[in-house]
Amino acid sequence: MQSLKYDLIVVGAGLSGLVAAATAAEAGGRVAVVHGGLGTFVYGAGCIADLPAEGGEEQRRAVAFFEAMTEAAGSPYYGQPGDRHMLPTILGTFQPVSLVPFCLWGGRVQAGARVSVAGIAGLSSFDARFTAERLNQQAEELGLQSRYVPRIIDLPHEGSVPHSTLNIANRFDRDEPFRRLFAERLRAVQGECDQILLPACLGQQTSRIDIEDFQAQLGRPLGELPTLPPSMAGLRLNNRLLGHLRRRGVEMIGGYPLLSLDLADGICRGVVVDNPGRARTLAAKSVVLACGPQSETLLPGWSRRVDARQRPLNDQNQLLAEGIHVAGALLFPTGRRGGNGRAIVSGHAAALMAAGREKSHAA
Amino acid sequence: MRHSDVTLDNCLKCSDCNSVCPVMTAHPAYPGPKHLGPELERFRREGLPCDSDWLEYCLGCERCDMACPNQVNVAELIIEAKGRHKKPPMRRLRDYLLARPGLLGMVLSVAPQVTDRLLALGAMKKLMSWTAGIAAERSFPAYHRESLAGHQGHRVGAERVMFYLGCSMRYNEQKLGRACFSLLTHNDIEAEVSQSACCGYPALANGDPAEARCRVRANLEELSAAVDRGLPILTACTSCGQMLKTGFTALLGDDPALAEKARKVEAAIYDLGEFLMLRAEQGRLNTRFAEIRHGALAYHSPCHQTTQGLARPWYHLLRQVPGMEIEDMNAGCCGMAGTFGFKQEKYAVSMAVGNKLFQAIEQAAPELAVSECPTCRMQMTHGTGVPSVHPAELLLEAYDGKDALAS
Amino acid sequence: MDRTQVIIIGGGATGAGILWDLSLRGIHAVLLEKRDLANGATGRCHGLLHSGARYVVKDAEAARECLSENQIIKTIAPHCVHDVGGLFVRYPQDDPAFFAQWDEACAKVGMPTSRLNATETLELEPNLPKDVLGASTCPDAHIDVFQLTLSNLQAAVAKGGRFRPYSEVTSIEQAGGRVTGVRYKDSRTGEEGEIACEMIVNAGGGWAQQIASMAGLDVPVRCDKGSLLVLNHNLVTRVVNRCRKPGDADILVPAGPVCILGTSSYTVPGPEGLKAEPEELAHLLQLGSELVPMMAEARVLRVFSGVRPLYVPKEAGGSAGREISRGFVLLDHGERDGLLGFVSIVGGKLTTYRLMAEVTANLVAKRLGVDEPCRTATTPLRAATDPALPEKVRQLLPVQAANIAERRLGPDLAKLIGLIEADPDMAEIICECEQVSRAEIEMVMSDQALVPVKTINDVGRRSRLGFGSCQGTFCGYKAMLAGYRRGLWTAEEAADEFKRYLDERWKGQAQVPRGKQIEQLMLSHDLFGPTYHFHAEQGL
Repeated sequence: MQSLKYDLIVVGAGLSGLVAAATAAEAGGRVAVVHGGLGTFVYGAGCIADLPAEGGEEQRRAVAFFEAMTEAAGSPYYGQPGDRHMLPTILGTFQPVSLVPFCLWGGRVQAGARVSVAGIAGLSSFDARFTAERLNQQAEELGLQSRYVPRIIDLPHEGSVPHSTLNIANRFDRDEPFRRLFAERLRAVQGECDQILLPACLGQQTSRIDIEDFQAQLGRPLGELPTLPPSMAGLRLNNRLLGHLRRRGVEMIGGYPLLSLDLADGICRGVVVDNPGRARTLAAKSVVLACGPQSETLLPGWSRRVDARQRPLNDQNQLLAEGIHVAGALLFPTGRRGGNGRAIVSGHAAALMAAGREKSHAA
Repeated sequence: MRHSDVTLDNCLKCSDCNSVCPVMTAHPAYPGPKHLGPELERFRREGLPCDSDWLEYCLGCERCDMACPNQVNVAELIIEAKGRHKKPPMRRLRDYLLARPGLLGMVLSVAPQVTDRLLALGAMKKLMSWTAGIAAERSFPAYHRESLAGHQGHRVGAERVMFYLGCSMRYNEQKLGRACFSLLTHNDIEAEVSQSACCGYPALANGDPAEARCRVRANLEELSAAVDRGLPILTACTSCGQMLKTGFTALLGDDPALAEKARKVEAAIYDLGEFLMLRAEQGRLNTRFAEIRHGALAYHSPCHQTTQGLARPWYHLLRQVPGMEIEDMNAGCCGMAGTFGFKQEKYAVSMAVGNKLFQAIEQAAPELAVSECPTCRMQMTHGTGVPSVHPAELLLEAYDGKDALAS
Repeated sequence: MDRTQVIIIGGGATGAGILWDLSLRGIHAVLLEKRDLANGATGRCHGLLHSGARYVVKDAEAARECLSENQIIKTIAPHCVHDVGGLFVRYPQDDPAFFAQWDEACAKVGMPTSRLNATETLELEPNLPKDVLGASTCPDAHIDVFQLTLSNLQAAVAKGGRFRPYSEVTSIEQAGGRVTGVRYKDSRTGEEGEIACEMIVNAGGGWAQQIASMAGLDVPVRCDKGSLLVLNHNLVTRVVNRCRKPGDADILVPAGPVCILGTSSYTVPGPEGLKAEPEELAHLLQLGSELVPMMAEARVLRVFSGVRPLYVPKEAGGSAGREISRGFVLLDHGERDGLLGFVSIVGGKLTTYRLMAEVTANLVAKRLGVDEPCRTATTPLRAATDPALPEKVRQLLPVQAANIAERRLGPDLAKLIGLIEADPDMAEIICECEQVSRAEIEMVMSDQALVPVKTINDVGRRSRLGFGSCQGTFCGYKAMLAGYRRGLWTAEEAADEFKRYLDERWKGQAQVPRGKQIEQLMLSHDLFGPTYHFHAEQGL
């Protein structure tokens, strides 16, 4: 009977944790992601803006892996570190982004473009006129050569339920005639515009293919505008990545926070999860901690510093324990969110280091 | 439940719970767990009347809890609110009965040859739909008058466990019970059959916490005594497992005389798959599996397996069996939610929620659908026509080399 | 040239009450307020409608006054009052001699109370410490301070009164020993104006001294700061007072879905730039957990500070804040200082606002030769609600949103229903934390609103939008869009307004010392900062 022990347990289901898990799964290990709840995808869209053009070998490898992973998951990214693609936001500002999620790519600023800002009548969380007006004002201030025009469409309600990006997205996922109607109505109001912006509502389970199909009916590039939470663009990325991990055999064990790491004699042998009834110990050869900035209590005695292999050090700069690697926002204590790039790079590296340790132990 | 529950304070209004709620996804009029849970709870604590018929539409799948990044006890807040929810007399009466599957089981297994046939009659279904609000589309499971007590093992010196049956196994699926005992025998384990009756979960789900407390109180002594004798307590139903692991402290934890016992019992509960997997990890599982050839098998992980923090033990065990071609449908909640799907006015929602799973199963074109939860099995068969089995029966086949479906 | 009979300066409960009282008597008046309604002490207190039991031992007169006004306000403004009742709880660590004194004093002033033993007390309020000795009930209640002020203003405007928010008085004109008018400027646009009048009422509360000095007069007001904490959900269902000599953090008031703990007492130089110090907050929380042990884990949403404006004529010397009488004083500057037509009403407390307004309006009426008595004690601030309306609303809104709307809007429910029937999207709940519907927000922002709005927070004060757990993070944006759609602001103005709104909402949360709100705040910062590049947190 093949071993049921995990090679790697990743703690945390944010961007960093999922990248670490995918990295380890790709290397052929048996991986579990243990998490107390979903990551921060619900807040944004997964844009990456914090990677420099010349970020070094580690960054280059991580980005290549990330691009392949997201492509395989059906939610590819476009752009390179160091790029500054200007993405419009619902607040009428422009956000410079290097690696852009596919669903936002079609909305990036193109010089000379006439862009329709599509609104949905009755949607309280988005106003196309406001966003278009502000984008025009901002574009002028920043010297960007694109022009924004509001276009409102009507979408049918289900019963008397007011529109929200969540229920439009859910309907988009399950109702094919609705998708076609949506595309028809959008297309009908485009006029001379050569680009469309739309509040993110094109499904939370959709893939690149689904959105390209939709876009094809419009005859021009389409870019989503991420909205205030729940952000469909972020949730979609989350769902695609989780599906991808599942297909790679990664076990998602969620809903309960960690009580502690299973540490003995300076070696981490797994994690202890606060499950119903009794705490459950999950054994693993290595653990990657990617559970966010509030979780230092899991590493008593940690100085907040790590060695070159992202392993935690105590105040005397000694290794806190073998078999632990830190990644993501936990690794960057003063960093704020907006560090998706660092999350990916550190997550990928942590998983590689963890696999490396296994090799050295076997040797 | 604890009045002092402050987890509602953890809510940052991110709506992760709403995004994963299977009812909200399939039925947008449903206000969602964020609203029915922490949002309304602030007003309930103010003493405002906040009752809503929508509370009845919560499946109890607890995906909201699992998704919440801030550990808000969303599902528990809703269950508590259900307990104070007022229903019109017809629904109240129907739900009173559905909250007591133990009682129903006792009555309907007295003369099952008669009652089964009666319940299957088209005219009877119409009548029940009209008077009791039971969906006419549904079939009641077959009842059998067979006691599993006679199958207890008595081998001296063998490792012993207490086996908690649950209502479905006790009154409808005795064959599954026998299969579980055989599985254990194959591993040199003797099962003592627990006398404990309904776990109480259907009562909670139907807004009858008094009955749930009654059930839990009634079961506490026997199970506690078993634990004192060093017996782990096993169950093959994931919803019973979820209730047995949490219900004692949730409903009795405020009573200082019982809190200790409650915790002790909960700590000794194991899902059968969980138990066998632990043995496997220790290298003590009987792995002498015959190769079995079934067509494709479609596996569905019940929601209450996830809520126990289990990592699909049965799924992984079955993958160890040579020839087993099993695929996890991974298509969300089946929509049955125990007694929920039997309700006339909830039937459409139940089927809408399960639609994704039905489609996935149809696409997989399997020979059998596989799941640990009896009502998930019912729903999958109802929605696709594919027969369904508990994974234990397949594992037993691997031990015995016999076809699971032959009696 | 704009002219009126009376100008009232200060849009708190007292000023609004005076506007109403004068309007009822047919006297034309304009109320000028430099910000929005209830910006001063009115909007920065517990929201406690005192029974007076707090004052029985030290100041029987004040207690009687409170008791009387308490009953009047419950009659004239029931829609502003959550008549939750109050408890004076006897804690084992407090002085038993005081319990006896309190009982006696209550009996003397005729305070309706009944005694509860420990078991009964804990049954009513299970979150009190298990070792409480008992409690006595009293007719304390929660009063929605914004609704109260708003109601007075709406009633006054309906009777011909005028309310000008964001209008800061810049000078008081006088000639020949009497006031002739004021100059003011729009505190948002800088636009200037002037109004001629016969009389001026200084109802400026903590600003009374500054206002009086514009007229060359000295009205000595000591600003005594108190800080309060808003907790995310109700830890108690009645007002809980500690039965002891009044001190810090000994009142917890259920104020809608939140509850408010306070307060402290520090002398400060003026009514603005108030900040709660970390030690002050730690102290409040420490005392709060003596009141209710769960306070230690409860989520604090927001910290705010307000000023008790205490009239301190030279004779009072250096007494401490709480010791100075909370009674009010009416100063007729014609008699006192030789400036005819100028009157100041100072001191007092929210509970006695109507009485303060009455005595002021009596003097003003006398000086103007208007022979009309005060009717505010017997005139409801709002007509009764047609009982068919709440039934209708319950079909259109979720039940608790319907109940809240009914309480707040009363007869205006008809408008709400009309809006929803014309457009079902109006039933959407925009502020989820406080269950405020889109229709209500439209009504508040409407041109027809008797008391118009200029900012998102103005909407908040009238509807509680943004007052709940998320502190406007999610609903503030939607409110901004609603204002933009109505033409309240251009796109650029709307964006600027939203930034100001965020600053204000953030400020109150930034002082929260610990707990989940800090994450909520960080989320808000991150959303509008790095994610949307909209507004970065300013150095705080």
